[in-house]
Amino acid sequence: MSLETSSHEIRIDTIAVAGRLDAVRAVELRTEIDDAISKGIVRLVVDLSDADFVDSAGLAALAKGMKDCRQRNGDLRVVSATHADAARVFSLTRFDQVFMMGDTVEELVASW
Amino acid sequence: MTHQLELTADYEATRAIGPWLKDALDALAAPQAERLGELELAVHELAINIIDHAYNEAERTTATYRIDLTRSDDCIRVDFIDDGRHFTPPAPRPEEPTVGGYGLMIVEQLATTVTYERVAAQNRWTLTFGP
Repeated sequence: MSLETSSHEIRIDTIAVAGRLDAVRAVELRTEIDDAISKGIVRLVVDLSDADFVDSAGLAALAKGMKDCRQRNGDLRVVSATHADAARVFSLTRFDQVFMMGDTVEELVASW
Repeated sequence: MTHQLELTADYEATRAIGPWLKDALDALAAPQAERLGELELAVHELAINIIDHAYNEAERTTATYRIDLTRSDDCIRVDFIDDGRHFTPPAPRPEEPTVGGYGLMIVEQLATTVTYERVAAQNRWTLTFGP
């Protein structure tokens, strides 16, 4: 009988978005997500705890990122916004039931 | 009294909407001021819809549109006027979540009424918000 141990590390990157995640910044977020995926980083946590406004363009950037990560056996998970004007778009579109969402980065990192 | 905001048809300019809306609602002593976040999102999303659908990328550098806000009793009326291309309603939403196309869905949930008409080569959207 032989025993062989090997270790595997998974990389999870966090992108923190403070302030507005609107049509202007959605473009920047898309670029950030695409860059990560192009480097093979397909487990992402987007932290919206300090976001104060999110619109449908910001939501679309997150949704596209989630779709692209899941197609590569990863995921994009979202730390819930604490500001009402940032959380609103998720409940209106029911994307709060589509993304895996959590209250902290640590909680979502541990979810993998 | 009508509060007016004229914006260039680019995303950056939409950041003027929130402060303008707050000032207008405060000046009118409108009860809707307590729901500023909801109104801001609705007005912002309709502005984005205009930028995305009324104008192509080349046109956005020079095109403008106007937003008018008035109060009638306790109702707030917001009119959007642009002279871009005719708006075409989107196809029915599929069951599965899509990457985009949620702007009007958001507006319809936040505004009391949403109407659109094409008048003399202009698009006119009107949102109303009850008390």
